Amino acid sequence: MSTAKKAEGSPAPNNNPIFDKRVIEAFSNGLRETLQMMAQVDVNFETARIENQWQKVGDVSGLIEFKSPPFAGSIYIHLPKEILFHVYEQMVGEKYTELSKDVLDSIGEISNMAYGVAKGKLNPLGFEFNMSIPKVCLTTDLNRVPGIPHLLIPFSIQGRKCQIEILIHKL
Amino acid sequence: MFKPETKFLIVDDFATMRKIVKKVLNELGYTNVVEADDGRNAFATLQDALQKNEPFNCIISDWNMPNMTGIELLRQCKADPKLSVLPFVLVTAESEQANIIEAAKAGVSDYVIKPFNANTLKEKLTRVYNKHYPSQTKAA
Repeated sequence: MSTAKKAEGSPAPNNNPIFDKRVIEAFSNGLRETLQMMAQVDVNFETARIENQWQKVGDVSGLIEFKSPPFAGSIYIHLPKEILFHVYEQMVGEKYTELSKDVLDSIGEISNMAYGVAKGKLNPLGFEFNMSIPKVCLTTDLNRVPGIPHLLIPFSIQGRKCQIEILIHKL
Repeated sequence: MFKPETKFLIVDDFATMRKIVKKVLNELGYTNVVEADDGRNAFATLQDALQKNEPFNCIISDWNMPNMTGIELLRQCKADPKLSVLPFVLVTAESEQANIIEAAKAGVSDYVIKPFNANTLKEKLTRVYNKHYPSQTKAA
């Protein structure tokens, strides 16, 4: 994203183009639309915040790494496994109670769709989010270097805590 | 609409999306469905089917995949006389105008933007059939 300067509207706080209200809305709406359309699952978003420490939320994570010099970053969607089982059953029609390769795969596709919706909304505004192949992982395998700002967008599904996390690696 | 015996090839690097598309096809009455996890494997599957004289009748492919993308697969199919007329639907999260124009120029039959529901896919498949087989449509 050669983003903030080109994007319309007010500049983002911290001169960080990602920490921007339009980005928060685009990713929140992207995930809401994806889960509603594909799984008929409702999402309740809370207020987004920037933090320098990250507390693990959920069990499974979908990851999109984006690059567009001079910026690069990662977008994670973290879900409790029980929520992923529910979403997977709604989408595919198969019931699981234990994590499997197939179920884990689904958070990658969910992340891909949410990112695609957000990218489609943001790039016409001057952002330059690139095409990226999603990855999946267990949230417990993730580690964070303290002191790096994270944009956290908390949300809940069926009362369970979930999170969108956005990190900028380079500025 | 495509006949019940239509042979579909679903191409997506994510098994979840392959299952979702397959589920919709099954609900529509199509059971002859084969899967591939990227464009390269899909093209090999298409060639293999031609050699066995069991050709596919429709491809439903993702765009953004490792090894060979959906748009690269589409171009390879268009460059092959035996595959060039095959209906090719892109089902993708790439919703920007530039992507749609690029796909149209490459000769895509239709374009489904993720997320989608079963009705959207059904409508697109009907449109694709009508576009590729207008005489059968009129006869029906």
